[in-house]
Amino acid sequence: MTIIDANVQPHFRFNSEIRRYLSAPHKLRAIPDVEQQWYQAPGGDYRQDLYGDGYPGSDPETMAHHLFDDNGVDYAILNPLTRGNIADYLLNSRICAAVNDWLLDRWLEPDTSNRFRGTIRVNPEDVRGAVAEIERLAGHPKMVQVGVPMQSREPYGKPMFEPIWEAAAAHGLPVAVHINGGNGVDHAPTFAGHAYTYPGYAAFMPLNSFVHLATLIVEGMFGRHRDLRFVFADGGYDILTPLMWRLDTFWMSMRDQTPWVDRFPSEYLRDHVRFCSSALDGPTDEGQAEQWLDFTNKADLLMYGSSYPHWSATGPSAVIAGLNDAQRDKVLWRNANDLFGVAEVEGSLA
Amino acid sequence: MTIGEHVQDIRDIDVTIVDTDVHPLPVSAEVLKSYAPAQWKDKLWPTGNAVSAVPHFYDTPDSYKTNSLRVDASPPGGGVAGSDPDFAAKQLLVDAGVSIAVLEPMCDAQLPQAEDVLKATHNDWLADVWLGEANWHGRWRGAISVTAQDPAAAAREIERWAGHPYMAEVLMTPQTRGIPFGSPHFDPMYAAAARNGLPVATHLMGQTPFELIPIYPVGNPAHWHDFFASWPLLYVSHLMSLVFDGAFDRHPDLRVVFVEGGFTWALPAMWRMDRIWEQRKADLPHVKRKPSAYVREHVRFTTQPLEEVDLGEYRQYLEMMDLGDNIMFSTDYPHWSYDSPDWAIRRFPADQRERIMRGNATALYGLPATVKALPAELPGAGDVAV
Repeated sequence: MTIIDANVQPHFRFNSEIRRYLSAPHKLRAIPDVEQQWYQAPGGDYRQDLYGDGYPGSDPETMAHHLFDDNGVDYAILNPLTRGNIADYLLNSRICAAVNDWLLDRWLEPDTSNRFRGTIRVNPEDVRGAVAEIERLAGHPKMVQVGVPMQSREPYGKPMFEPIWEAAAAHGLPVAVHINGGNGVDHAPTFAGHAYTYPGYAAFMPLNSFVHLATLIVEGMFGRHRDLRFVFADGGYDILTPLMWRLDTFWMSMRDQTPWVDRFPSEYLRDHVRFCSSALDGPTDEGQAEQWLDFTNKADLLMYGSSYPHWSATGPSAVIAGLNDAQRDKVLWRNANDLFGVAEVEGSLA
Repeated sequence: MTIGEHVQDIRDIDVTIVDTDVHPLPVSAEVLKSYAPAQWKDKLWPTGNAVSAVPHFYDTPDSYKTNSLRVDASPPGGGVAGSDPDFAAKQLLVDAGVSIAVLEPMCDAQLPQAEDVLKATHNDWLADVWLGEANWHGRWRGAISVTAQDPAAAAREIERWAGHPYMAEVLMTPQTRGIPFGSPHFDPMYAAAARNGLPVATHLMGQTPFELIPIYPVGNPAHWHDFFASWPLLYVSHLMSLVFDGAFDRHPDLRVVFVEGGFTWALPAMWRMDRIWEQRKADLPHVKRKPSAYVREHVRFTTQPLEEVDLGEYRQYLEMMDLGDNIMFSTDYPHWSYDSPDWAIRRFPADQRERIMRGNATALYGLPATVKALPAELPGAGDVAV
């Protein structure tokens, strides 16, 4: 069976490497480090065995070995982090462009195996800049999605972001949302304020994707843009069933305020929403996994994503444990291929 | 057997349904003010939004007309819904069949000292208007409202009411202005509650003013619909803090009740906590047990608003969740999204119904097995109004 890893983070080898891809005057600006400053996992965010000569996830050959040989993955969707939301949104847009140029230069164009795909990183706080960056790179055959941070000061259903989503949808590119912050201009990460422990941060943070999702539905973004797809790449799909039920429950009552939501909110999921798997999602009892995935039809929404080289990186076998064959097929390959069409690219190994 | 003895026997009825979320309101600002200390009478209002309807910016359907209340719950004699104990008794206890109901007033104020006074004033009003003569039947229980802004003051207020026969819990806002529930900030309040055997309940307080709404980590939605669907994540945040920040280790007798914020999220929340605890125990040396074990021992959830989804799937989910010892029925009377007992009970798996509708609440609050019947509940009373 083909396996697609829909969530991999390649990194710069060193903090300063990004400066090669920046022009003056941005080259001399203060730029945050690769690893996030706030809420970093004690000991480092990435797999301890990968620290060494350069950041974990910074060497294409090593990554290829771990993903393609050890994990048996056929295709990997690379979604590099930028440096989170920073106060200077124009500088942030230049950082996104530099990351994109680096991804093409170091990863996608040298990759003769044709197994890596890339993400166009954009800065939603600079809407025009984000649209321009999508237009600049959407034609590249190996760029298969647009990437934005989970962290935001307005949820992504708000209308100011609509031109970005419109541009992504026009090019058939899904929008991947991934945690990417920790540099000082984000809101507190939980609804109750700042977390006092790293686990308190890390266990909660992916659940914020639901607010983006709920606002995208209620503001009618999916209704207006038939081709718009969102990928929530940090997991968090285990909270989907209870909270979508709650959104469905009050739909009828709220139609006066948002009449454009013309169906149960959960009916938008299949056509517009995907989640990547994570080490923190799902039943702790493997015997419940199959039934759990069927609630809210999550088997149609879930894609295997390793989070490599994060400390919580998971192999495919951990994600499909307890699932039936049809569910495994969807999670490991089918859902991602329907979204990205990687196996149809000329010269691929499929 | 004489007629007198016969009447004596049937005046007690079994407790079968406990409603853990009911909202009484003062009939007017003037009535509430009459319970305030003299020097505060003109300072608290309208700062506190306890009585006057401040426009809600996350407004529920037809808010201007209904103020989020059931239109049929307005007392025939006048006043807003939830302001007349006798009419509420007829509608909720007699007609809907609730045996005992826990009353949770909602109020808040911007400044800590004012909020402390406002909460104390509500307690005096509740004790007098609802838990005094009007509670001749003993079917109302009250919540001790406290300010979370000043936990030492909250502890004093808890001590002032501890031992009151009908004050059954402490009530704090979850809108704690950036301080998660597990913070040592709240320790004096938790210690006082635990010392007196009183659970600490939390319930959405004012939807006004805006600064009392939590800032959602990725920004706040525009409509009540997506705002309220996301609201349980505030409780998830507080729950994770309680466990990971050691509040239950510091207060072994602390019990927390999450009111009106859903409860089906508890299953994945427990999984997430257990998973990260297994993987990162070194970051949590003070967390001695599996996180889900703390939840099962220390935490209760109320049911309203129940999700209206496929009944078979819903029951399967509740069976998988296996929190039948932690869920307590609630109606949210007299608010617009009221769940009736008749409708709710069928949604629970058969073997969890008795615990959810009665047993968990009677155990938590120390409620009796029988209560006095209201006249309209006596055999032969038919449909005669109270």
